[in-house]
Amino acid sequence: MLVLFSIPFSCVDLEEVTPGSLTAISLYKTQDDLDAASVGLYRPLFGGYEAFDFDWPIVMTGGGEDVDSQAGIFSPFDELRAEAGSGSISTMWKALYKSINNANNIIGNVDNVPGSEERDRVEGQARFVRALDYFYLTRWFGEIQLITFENQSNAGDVVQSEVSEIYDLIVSDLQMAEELLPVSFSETSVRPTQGAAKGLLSKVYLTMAGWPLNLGSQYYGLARDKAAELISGSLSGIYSLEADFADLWDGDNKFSNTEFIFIFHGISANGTTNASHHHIASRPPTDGGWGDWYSEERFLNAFPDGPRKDASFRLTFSNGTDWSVNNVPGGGPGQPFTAKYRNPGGDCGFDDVGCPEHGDGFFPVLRYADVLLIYAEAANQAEGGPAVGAYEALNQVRRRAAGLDPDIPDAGVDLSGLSFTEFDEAVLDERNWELAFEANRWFDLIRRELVEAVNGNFHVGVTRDDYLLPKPALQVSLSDGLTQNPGY
Amino acid sequence: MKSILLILKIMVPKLLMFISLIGCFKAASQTFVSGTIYDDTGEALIGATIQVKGTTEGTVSDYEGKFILQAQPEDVLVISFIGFVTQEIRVGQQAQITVTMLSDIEALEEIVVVGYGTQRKRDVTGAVASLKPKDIQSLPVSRTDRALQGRIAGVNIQNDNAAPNSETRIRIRGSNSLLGNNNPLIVIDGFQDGRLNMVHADDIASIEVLKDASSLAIYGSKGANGAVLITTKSGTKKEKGLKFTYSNYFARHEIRNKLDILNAAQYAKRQNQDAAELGGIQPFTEAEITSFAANGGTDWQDEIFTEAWAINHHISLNGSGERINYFLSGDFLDQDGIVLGSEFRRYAIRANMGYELTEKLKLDLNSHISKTEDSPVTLNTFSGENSGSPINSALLWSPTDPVFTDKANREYTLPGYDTDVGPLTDYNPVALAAEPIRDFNQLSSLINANLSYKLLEGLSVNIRGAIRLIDEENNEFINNRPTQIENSETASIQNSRNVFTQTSYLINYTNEFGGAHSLNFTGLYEEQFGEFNSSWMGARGFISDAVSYNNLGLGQDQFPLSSDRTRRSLRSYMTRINYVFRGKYLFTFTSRWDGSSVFGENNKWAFFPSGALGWNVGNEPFIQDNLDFISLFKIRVSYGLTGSQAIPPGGSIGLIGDDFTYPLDGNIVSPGIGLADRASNPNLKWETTEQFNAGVDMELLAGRFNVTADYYVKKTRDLLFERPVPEATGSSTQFVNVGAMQNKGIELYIEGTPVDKEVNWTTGLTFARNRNEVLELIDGNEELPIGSVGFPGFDNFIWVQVGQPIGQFRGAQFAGIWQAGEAGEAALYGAIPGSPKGVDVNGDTVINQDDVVILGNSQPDFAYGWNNNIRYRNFDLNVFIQGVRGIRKLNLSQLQLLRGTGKDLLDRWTPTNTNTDVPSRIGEATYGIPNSDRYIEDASYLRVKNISLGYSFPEELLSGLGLETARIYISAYNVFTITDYTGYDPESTNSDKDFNSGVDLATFPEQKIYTIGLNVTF
Repeated sequence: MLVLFSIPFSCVDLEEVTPGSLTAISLYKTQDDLDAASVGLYRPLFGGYEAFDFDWPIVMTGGGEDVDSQAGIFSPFDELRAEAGSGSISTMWKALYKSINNANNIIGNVDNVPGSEERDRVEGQARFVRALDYFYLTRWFGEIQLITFENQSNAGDVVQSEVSEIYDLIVSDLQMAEELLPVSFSETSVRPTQGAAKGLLSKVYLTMAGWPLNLGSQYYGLARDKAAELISGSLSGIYSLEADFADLWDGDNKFSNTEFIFIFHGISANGTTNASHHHIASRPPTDGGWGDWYSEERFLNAFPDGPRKDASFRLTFSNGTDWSVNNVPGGGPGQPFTAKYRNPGGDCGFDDVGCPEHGDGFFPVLRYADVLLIYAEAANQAEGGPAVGAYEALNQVRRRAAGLDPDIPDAGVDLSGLSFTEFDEAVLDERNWELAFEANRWFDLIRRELVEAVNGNFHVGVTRDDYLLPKPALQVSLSDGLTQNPGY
Repeated sequence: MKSILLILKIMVPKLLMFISLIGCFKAASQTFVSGTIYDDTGEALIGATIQVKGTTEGTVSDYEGKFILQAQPEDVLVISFIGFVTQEIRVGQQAQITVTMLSDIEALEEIVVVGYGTQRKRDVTGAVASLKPKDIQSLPVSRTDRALQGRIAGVNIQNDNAAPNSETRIRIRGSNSLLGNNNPLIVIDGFQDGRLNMVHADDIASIEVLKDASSLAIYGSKGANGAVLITTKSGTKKEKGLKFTYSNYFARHEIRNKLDILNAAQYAKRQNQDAAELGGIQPFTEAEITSFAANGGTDWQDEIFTEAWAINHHISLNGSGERINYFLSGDFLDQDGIVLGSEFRRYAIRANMGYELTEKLKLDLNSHISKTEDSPVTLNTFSGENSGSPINSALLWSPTDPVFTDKANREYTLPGYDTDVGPLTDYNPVALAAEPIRDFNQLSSLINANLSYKLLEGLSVNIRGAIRLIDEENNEFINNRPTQIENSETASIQNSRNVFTQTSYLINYTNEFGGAHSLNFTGLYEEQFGEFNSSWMGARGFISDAVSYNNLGLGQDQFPLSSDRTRRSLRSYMTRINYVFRGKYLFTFTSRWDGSSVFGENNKWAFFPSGALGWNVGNEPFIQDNLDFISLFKIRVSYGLTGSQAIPPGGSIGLIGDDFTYPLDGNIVSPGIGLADRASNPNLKWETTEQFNAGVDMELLAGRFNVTADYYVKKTRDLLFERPVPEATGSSTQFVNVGAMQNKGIELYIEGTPVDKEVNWTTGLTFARNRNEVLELIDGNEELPIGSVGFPGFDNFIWVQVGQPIGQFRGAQFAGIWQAGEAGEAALYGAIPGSPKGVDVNGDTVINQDDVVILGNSQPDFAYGWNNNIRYRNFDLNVFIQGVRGIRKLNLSQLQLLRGTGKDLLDRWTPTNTNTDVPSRIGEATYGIPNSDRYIEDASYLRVKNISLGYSFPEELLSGLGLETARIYISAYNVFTITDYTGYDPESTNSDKDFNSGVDLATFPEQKIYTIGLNVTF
């Protein structure tokens, strides 16, 4: 009883105390803090249906022939009539900027910790991830706000930058990452390596050579040289094509395959937070999935037959029906489905019908086949025609696609004797098929200004304005420095 | 009351002499009877009226309580006095009669609990409504919150979901806050963190609802949403010795309204027709359809809804000793939910003790302990694999599928059983209801002690110390029977503890001086402290269901642990002055200062003043002389500020997110940190509500008719808003104080006893109209999308707009179906005949966000209640009608039915069936406009909330059994409803946020309840 009345004499404190939460004041001071912060770079980009673990990046590149969706929230991308209010757009925008700011906090605070290899590795990862974030942002949205540690505190007022300034930061970040990152981490690590930085930089140069900067042959040369470092240069032998194309898509092989240069991956054990969801979202409903998106009939028809096609598509469903007989969710005519993400490993196998919603799968951001094709395209462009190295790079991908040993020339599969234009077209086609459903084709179409040619007769009212997506309407209204893209 | 006594003291002796003299001149043949009248404390009762029944003979007791009058032995004396129960005594042979008068419970209503004290009703200047306990207890519900529905004008109670342990939405005078809390403050015996569902209705002595600023400003930053003050019973001094009460009821709950769904044969035909339309394979053969027609299929609603029984027992004993009084009670409730697998049990004990330690020192110790065991079924979610909503699934599942493939081994049919129809991603409704084990156990204890010391006449101090502990253990074991996915069993345990302490130091001074002045001063210093901590652990993949959630170590994958701890504290000063001049002019001034830990660094202290004036017009001579049927006529005006500090702990400071985990180095999760979604704001503060109130109280014919009317205007500014900040900052939102909202309304309460003969009929009518209006939004915005419907395709469906009430729906307008003759026009919209047609507002041949219009809002126009008690001899009848008008709801169960098994699907558009609102299969699927007004419905309703009939056994029968009173009753609750709403219930909603309260995702449906019960005292 007396205790009750004596409570007040302790006198409650009006200072805000949050015993269970971290505050900014005490963090980013030690190597341990930086290590934890390095993990924080990736979480915004994968897990919780928030970014690359789910449909968003795939449907937002649905303007390519590879991806189609009838779902009300996704179909506008496929039909090149995206809306500024789209939840897909605002979700990816948020994820990318969250990751950028987490990177900025590392980059701006590294000097709090004495220099060491560990510190460099954290900084290298931060610079790689920031470059990757901006690379996606500017390819989707064009001019956006360039936020660094220096202007982070008044980020809302920052005026959007020219695309060239954004690429300047991307290039400088990747160049530093090349220096700071090791050739490899542990066997099961998915951290970006030196190879990832170089590979991504070659893709950045390739993109800078085309639309919208159109920097042309000089940058094709830079792209070729950077790609060459992984093929025949300092990192030669680290990456190679996986012998069987189908093995690439086995989730249990995500750490052991030799082709992945940078991936995001999930684990199901932690619920939705760290799980991948492509295996369920891309599975047809008849196979127990959601059928959020699928492919287009025109793409299936154009796709050359072979083991690669077999591993890329799901054409007969588990109940034995053919894709063309079924209806897609939403009721449209049947469509071919992708097979690439069906097998996340763990508890969900390729042919299982009832798979858990949360998977151990992955999303490939950069793999060696991409680098080979970057080399082939860039070399042809830089040199005005295909040289031996360009042919070999392209043909290696073609041989593997046909189920052959990539390193052994095969007259039946290998291309030769092509003109500059023929070779260029062949590489772009090969990229379309090889990298289908990996959020690649759309970016190829815009950088090579092929959107009208490919989609002009397929969708209504295709214009140059469709090259960029609308920026999220709410973000444009919140930031004076952000201007909506033309046509939206 | 005191003044009446004073008058009586002076007048009575004179009258007595006069009456006695008259008596002396009466005929000498009469017998004289004399006696003494005492009140229940043993004091002589002066001025009681003693009358010979059926005659005009009478007298009043003198200053010693004595009386004398002439009566025959067969006469009956009727003894009455204001505030006491009238008694009838047969004269018989006794010459000397001693009568002890008992205080009338009704008389207690003259005193009103006003927070930190009590006041005479006559002197109250604020808008305070009292509820008589007998009104609540006539309802067969053990939950006080449900019992309050429709009883008090301006208090709107909505049964959002009707699971046995669900929360109700209580709103006093509308919603003040957009994102903050709109729940009223619940004060139980002075303790400020009460919960209504933890007080048994039979333990309540009085309920007061404070509605205006003058009565609420004393609660400062916790007062903006109104307050419900509950006073629990204490031991009475009526009799020395014990008094027991026992009550119980048995109730049968059944679903109020099942939705219309297809039977198996209809469904199979429908699927075949759909398939024919789409050009696919026919899922069912004619033979199968014939067989379904003959043998039926599965009615999934019948499978998951059951009739449920509730049993409630309540026992109490109360009494008093020399210096002690006590009220002890215990109750037990066992209630099954009408959805398979849901159950709720509660055991509670209350001990209210009062000790007079010395003449001047008094201790009151109220304690309450309860244990609850809740087994809910998860609802309001759509997917969730093994733990999805059974109700949602029941609207989608094919009636052609059986429940089990092997009943003995509890093997359920899976999605797509036998055919590819029915949902493929929602699981068996029966499995979802019956299989998950959820045991949510709560132990709650409250000790609330008050020590009062009388320093001098009129001057007293009080110290209240209270501590409340809630321990919760939420256990779940979700097996994999619904999905049959290997290793998908999950088990988890969440432990949490919620401690709240309150200490109040109160000084009170009362004096009456100069004959005309009455003054009351209250001063307060108070501290409140709350701490919440919780921990969660879970695992997945169990080889056996045998251990349930009791051995998480057996799980293959351990989920990462999580735990948290938050604190909040509040320090306050308060003063209140009540001044009454000549009993006619009333003044109240209050002020409160609150300092709170959750306020931002730059805004630690808040000030809340209020003032009120009252004028007892009825006490003016021009009323008293000319209109003597008016016994009370009071005009009240008040104005003041109250606040809401519904800021979560840590809301003002920038936190670092610790949930940035990622499997960076293999198949294990690495811990990570990053910017939290919410940015800091050191200026964060309370929401301020400024309220003006004008009201009238009138009592006619000595209280036989009462009318109370109030008009109020509330403006809430500095609304707590989670403002979106540019994502470029790395954060998404920030708590800020911007914007304003207004609630304006009228309330009317009429109560009376129109018939008071052999049949006694009392009736009470409440009416309240509240108009909510958003006055200002952040950054000068005129409108903003807010919240989420929780259903794909309904992005930006709910808005707030300046000048409009919250909860506004916006979407396209559904204009029926494109007909065959309109094919050309339909094609412009990419549609075909059979597709739903939208209204193309801007005529650009695209239905998109430019065609969105306002589709109404979810705020009611007005609410009303009509309560009737009729007594005839030993019978009593209660009829309670209650309703709401002008409320609109988004009925998503209708949408689910049209995707699943709704009977409306029989009426699909075809080239030959054109007069319909249901699109063709292809039309619906390919060209659907989900975010339209197609599913918005008027959810106004009028319902007979309760009818109960009671019978009290006659005394002569009971005395032989040693009983004092005994009553049995039967009742029907929600027995009759008039509404156009086609969902489960017009009151249902899913969201705890008021702007989202118009969204109904097929929640736990409201029920009809049939009850039989018994009340006994002895």
